[in-house]
Amino acid sequence: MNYELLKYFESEGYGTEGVNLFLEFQPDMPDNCITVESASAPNLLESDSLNVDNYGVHIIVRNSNCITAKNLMWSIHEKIVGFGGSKLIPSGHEVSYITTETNPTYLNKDEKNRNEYSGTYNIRTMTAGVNRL
Amino acid sequence: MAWRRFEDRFVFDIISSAVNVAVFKTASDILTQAKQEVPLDESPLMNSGIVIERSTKKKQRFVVSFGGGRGTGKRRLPYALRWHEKQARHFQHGRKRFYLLDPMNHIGTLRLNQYLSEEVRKVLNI
Repeated sequence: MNYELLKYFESEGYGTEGVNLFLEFQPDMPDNCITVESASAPNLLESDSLNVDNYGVHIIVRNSNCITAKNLMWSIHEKIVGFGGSKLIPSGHEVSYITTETNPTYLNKDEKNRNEYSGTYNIRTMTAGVNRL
Repeated sequence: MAWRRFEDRFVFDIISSAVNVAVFKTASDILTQAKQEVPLDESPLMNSGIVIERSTKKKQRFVVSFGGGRGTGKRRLPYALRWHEKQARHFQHGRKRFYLLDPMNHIGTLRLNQYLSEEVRKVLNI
């Protein structure tokens, strides 16, 4: 699911995968980048019988400029929270809705004096299970 | 003895106190689990873990907090947030980041359902 989100960010012009958009692992360079990682998500009771699942994603925005990092993080937040009823990418899962787990938060500077913001989100999707309705 | 009229205030109060106990027990369980996952360093971060009651008459709220700061009575640890959110570091003894988020998601809902059912049954004698 986080890969779909990363591709969505790419389509929305936030960057290019492998250049300044990264999946699961934040490399030391470049200074300005966005990383999409997996996180835990609360269990949905209906998941046991219906084809729905909840995914957790953690987004880290790193930028040498504090204001840019903040603006980027909030722009992502505004773009994805409430998203639903369609797919993030054409071949992806149907997203029911995206909710906030933690709001964009300033993590302070890293060891190389770069600013970091992060936010955690839950994505409820319609999945294609075999045994569920 | 039968009730001649519906004692809504009474019912509200006993249910409300039962819910309060259930939420407190859930928060305590989350804290216990989180303390097993929090990075140790020299243990000030682990020792800063606390459950604080923020309930009002109508809402039962408890906060599970790490890293101290205002309202906790503990010294603020500026690295608590960063260690929670940032990429995995090599913490000792299998300790890890998301030390609060993970216990909340893994056991939070389950324990809350369990404790709510127990406590409400207890006060209603069923």
